[in-house]
Amino acid sequence: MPESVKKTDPPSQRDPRAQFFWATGLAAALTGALVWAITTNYCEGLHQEGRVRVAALAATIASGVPATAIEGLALREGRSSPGATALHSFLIDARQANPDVRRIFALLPGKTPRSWRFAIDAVTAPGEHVRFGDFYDVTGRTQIEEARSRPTADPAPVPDARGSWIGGYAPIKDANGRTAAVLAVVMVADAALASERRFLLEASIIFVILLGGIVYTGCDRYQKRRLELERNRNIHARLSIHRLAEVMTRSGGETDLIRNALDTMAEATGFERWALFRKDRERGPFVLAATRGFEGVARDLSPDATGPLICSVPLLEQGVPTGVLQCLASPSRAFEANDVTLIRWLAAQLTQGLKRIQLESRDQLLASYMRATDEMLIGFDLGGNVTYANPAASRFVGDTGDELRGRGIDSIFLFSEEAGVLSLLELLRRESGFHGELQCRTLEGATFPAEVAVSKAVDREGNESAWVLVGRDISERRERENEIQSRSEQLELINDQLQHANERLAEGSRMKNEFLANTSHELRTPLNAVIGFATLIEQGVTEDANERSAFAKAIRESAEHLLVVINDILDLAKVEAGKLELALEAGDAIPTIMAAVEALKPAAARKGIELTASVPEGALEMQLDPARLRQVLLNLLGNAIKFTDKGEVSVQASSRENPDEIRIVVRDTGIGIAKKDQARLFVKFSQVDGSFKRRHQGAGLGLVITKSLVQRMGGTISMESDGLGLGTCVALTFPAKVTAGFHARGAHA
Amino acid sequence: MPERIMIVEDDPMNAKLFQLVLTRKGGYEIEITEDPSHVIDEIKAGRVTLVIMDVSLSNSQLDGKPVDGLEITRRLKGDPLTRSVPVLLATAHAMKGSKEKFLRESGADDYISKPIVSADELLQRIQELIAKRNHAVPPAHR
Repeated sequence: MPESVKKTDPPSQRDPRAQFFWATGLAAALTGALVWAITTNYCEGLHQEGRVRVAALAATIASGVPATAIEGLALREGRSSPGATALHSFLIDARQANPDVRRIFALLPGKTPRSWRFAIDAVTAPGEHVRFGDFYDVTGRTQIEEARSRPTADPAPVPDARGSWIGGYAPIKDANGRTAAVLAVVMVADAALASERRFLLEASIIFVILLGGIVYTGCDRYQKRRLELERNRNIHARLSIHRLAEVMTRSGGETDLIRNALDTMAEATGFERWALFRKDRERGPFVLAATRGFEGVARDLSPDATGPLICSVPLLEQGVPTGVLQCLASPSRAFEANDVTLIRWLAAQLTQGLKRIQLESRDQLLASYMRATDEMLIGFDLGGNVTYANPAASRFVGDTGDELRGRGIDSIFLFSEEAGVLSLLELLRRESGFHGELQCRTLEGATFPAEVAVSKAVDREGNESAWVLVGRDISERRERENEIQSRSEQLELINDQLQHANERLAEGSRMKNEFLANTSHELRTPLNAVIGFATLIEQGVTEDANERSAFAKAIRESAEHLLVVINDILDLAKVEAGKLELALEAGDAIPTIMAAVEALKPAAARKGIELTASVPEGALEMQLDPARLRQVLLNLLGNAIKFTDKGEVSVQASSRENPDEIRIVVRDTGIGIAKKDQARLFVKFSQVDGSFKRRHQGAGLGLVITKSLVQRMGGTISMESDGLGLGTCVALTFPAKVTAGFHARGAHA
Repeated sequence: MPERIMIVEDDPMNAKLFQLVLTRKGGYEIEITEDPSHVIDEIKAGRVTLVIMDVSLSNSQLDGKPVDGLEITRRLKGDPLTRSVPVLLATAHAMKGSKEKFLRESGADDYISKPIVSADELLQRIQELIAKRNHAVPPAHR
């Protein structure tokens, strides 16, 4: 029933149990009434004087109302219309100019006779708020109707809890002389009837002195008791209200806090049943909390219940209702005006408390998130000084105490050198934020990569006063990325190797088949001669002894060639199986070189080629197996002679270029080898030409065996040719045991 | 005109053997050469009855490029003026499948592997090839 509590006075300290006091007071009042009756007639004239004064004041103020305000007085314009605003400020000014006046307001005539509405509220005091357009009850106040035509005043002072008042009324006329409204001035009756008051005071003083002596003895004792009760009650109420604030700031669930608050309120006010309704966007109003027993009484209430049983007060947050505080009065304790004021005050406290709870719970949520998260949260001011660091940040930076606070952000987060930015702070002076990768330096000086986002923090006033940095350690992620990278590189490498191995296998398989075919061919060719000539002898194709001898020689030579081929194959088999055994001994290479040259001189001579050897004087001491070195040289020189049709084949041995190395070079002026084929030469089963063209005898094993033998003697072999037709040069190098001077020794075929 | 056999062979020992067998035992007139263009010229001149062709040739060149017996045979069989003369491949390449591969690739008429274990068989194969050719080509065109 908010309408009924609209015009209430501030709470006063009143003790309903002071019957005795009232009884005494009543006696005094009766006495006073007697005095009053005596003096009324006398005072009548003075009354008239006060009424005239207040009506004159009303008329003076009404005549001063500016024309603009009068024009804007139409009710429908609303209280914020220019006219209403002008009138409002005029009335306030008028009140300030007349300190005796308690209130000045304007009344607009309503649609029906005797219905008046507040046109404007001139003065608002706590609990006195009257809305624009509210109905004004004029029952029995004919003077207001009267004031439409002329200034008038209340017939007698109107008493209330704060004193005695008298109202003066005057018409507010517009430019056409019509009454637009009535101006009301309410002033203290004492002020209006100052002389009357003086007289009454004098008369009262006589009676108070007389009565004082009579009632003093009885009254004094009760008075003391009453003051004591009053004081206790005040203290109790204050304590309770203090507890309310305390309860509201305590931590805990919102509903519990509110219920505790309501309990506290029940205790403080004596009203036992309270409930707080909350507005919810989806659910509508609901009971957030209530004291015990509230629900039952609420259910008992019927819509047409009479009497002020419920007091509902809105909870306003910046003018917006967010809920309703409801208090139920029991028949034994009805609402009074000051109760309602108290309830309003409590509602305001609850509103603030609820807001604080909301903020606190949000703060607590945020705080617990900041504590629990693994992300670094760092706040720093515009100067780059760290003002806050959450536990994760401390952990990552290695801060065991509170060393982070106050440090410069640029000493913690650094740009990598290639970024081209000197510092984060420098960047933030230009940009509104940052998101990217930085190096985070721990207090111990180690660094790790961190993904960082920096944004501006805005305070309650909307000022950008600080920065907030959120970061996370990405070294693990970086490591994983690197690992994946290196893994994939490894895989690629392995893939390549596999592919190469595969190709080599395929190539090896192809060459093996080719080798078998070639070996078969090399064995079959001399065998053909052996069998053929033997058959000729057997079948007596010739009787000529010389010819028969020639046939036999052909058989022998072919057989010898067969033996060479077979030995090559066997040697290769040993090389392959790792069973080729060398009888290594320290010795001079020169005799072996010369012996090989001598052995091949006849072959060179048959082709008309010059075969020369050039060796140093003294010895070329090295680790060697003379028989195998001879085999190597025979193979190389044999090849050189085989592939040279004119010119010369030479062998040079020296340790001139490097004393620690013996170098034997076999050079020819033969057909040479194309660059692309040189690498294949030392691969077994391989001959340069895979077709049957220009096939040379030999299964393609010589160089493979040669290379293996050279390596077993600790040497290397390499072949160079400037290309087809440009001759070939094969170089052998062996570690030298003894150095020797160089001296050329010629050996001509 | 006596039947004249052209022998293309790079191994002197084997060339000598063919010569002995074909002249002494077969009674053929023979010529040994490593020069493919000479073979072609002789055939075109109508002086060759049959060619015995080695496959691996060390020193044979045609149009300045090294050629083997298979390539020479292909040339002979690709030219209408030379294709009627039978070619017998005689080679030490005697792996499994070699015969079929060589005959297919070169268009030669027959194949015999070295070592030739029976001179009589060689002579018989030569006679058969000559007989077949005589049967296929009318004498007037010889």
